[in-house]
Amino acid sequence: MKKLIKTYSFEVIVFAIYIVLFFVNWNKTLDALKVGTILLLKMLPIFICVVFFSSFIALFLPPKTIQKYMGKQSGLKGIVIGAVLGTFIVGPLWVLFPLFGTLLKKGARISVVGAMIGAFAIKTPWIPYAAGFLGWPFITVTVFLTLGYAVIEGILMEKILLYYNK
Amino acid sequence: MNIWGAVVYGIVVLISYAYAFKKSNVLAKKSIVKGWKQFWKQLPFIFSIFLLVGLFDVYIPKSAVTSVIGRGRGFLAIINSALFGAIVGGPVSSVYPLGALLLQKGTTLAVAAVFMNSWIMVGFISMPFEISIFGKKFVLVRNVLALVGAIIIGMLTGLILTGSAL
Repeated sequence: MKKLIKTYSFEVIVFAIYIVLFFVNWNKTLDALKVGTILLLKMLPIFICVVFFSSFIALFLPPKTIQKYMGKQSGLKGIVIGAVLGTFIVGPLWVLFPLFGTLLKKGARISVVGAMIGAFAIKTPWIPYAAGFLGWPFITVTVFLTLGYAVIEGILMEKILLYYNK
Repeated sequence: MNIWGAVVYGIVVLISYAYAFKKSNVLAKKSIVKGWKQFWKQLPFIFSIFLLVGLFDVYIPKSAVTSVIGRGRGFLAIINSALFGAIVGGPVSSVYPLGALLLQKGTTLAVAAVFMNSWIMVGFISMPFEISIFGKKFVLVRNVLALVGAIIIGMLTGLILTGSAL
């Protein structure tokens, strides 16, 4: 029971807020419940696609494969490829940071890993989900700008870190 | 919301699974099981986020939002939303509905974009974990660059799509 509450602490808090607010203002809270439920029903088809596409990528383009691609590339091309691959990495941070750490230890350049982390902000399976809320023009512009900045971020990180480690 | 997004995405998922089953039956089945598990794991969280969006929608007046990060606040609104996004942070599934809500409550596109970017790119909460893998210097440089990037990308997105960087 305790563990269950800990795992779902956020959900439990939202549930508790709802109970309290139902006592404060029944009608308004009912409206909020409606808004949330309609959102869920609207986004459910895309969300289902997200989970199955993510699991597909996780199994058919696993971190090890990505590592293999990274080993061969260098220069600006390597940084750009690192950024593009970064958008295809799925999974939570605690899985990813160790992967990036291993890449660095294995001799990958800081710029490549930096660009990957920067581009990790784009999660390809979630793009249609974002478009559902904000429209395709918004997410398209964001994706391209983020990719471009990830490359710059990687290069700057390498410059700064190498300068201070001299 | 956008039915075609869901339809196209559904087709992409079907094609990727057709490829998966052709390549390896075992791995494809594993992928489906993984997706199914992820669906039930993430569903309560997503629903809670949507319910929270419903509460904000009903209970928080436009004026409360615009007074802090509204149109009239200029660059201060950009900084506020960047810092707020950086401190709170969380999964991408939560940030897009919240960003859409901000827009609905009267912020500019640039402010909403900066908020979402910094929510995804900067991680104050996960910093200790990040430091344990990469070391202090790397993490500090990365997060500062990410925060600056979140602001630049968001302002450019606003400039490109609405003609206003603020």
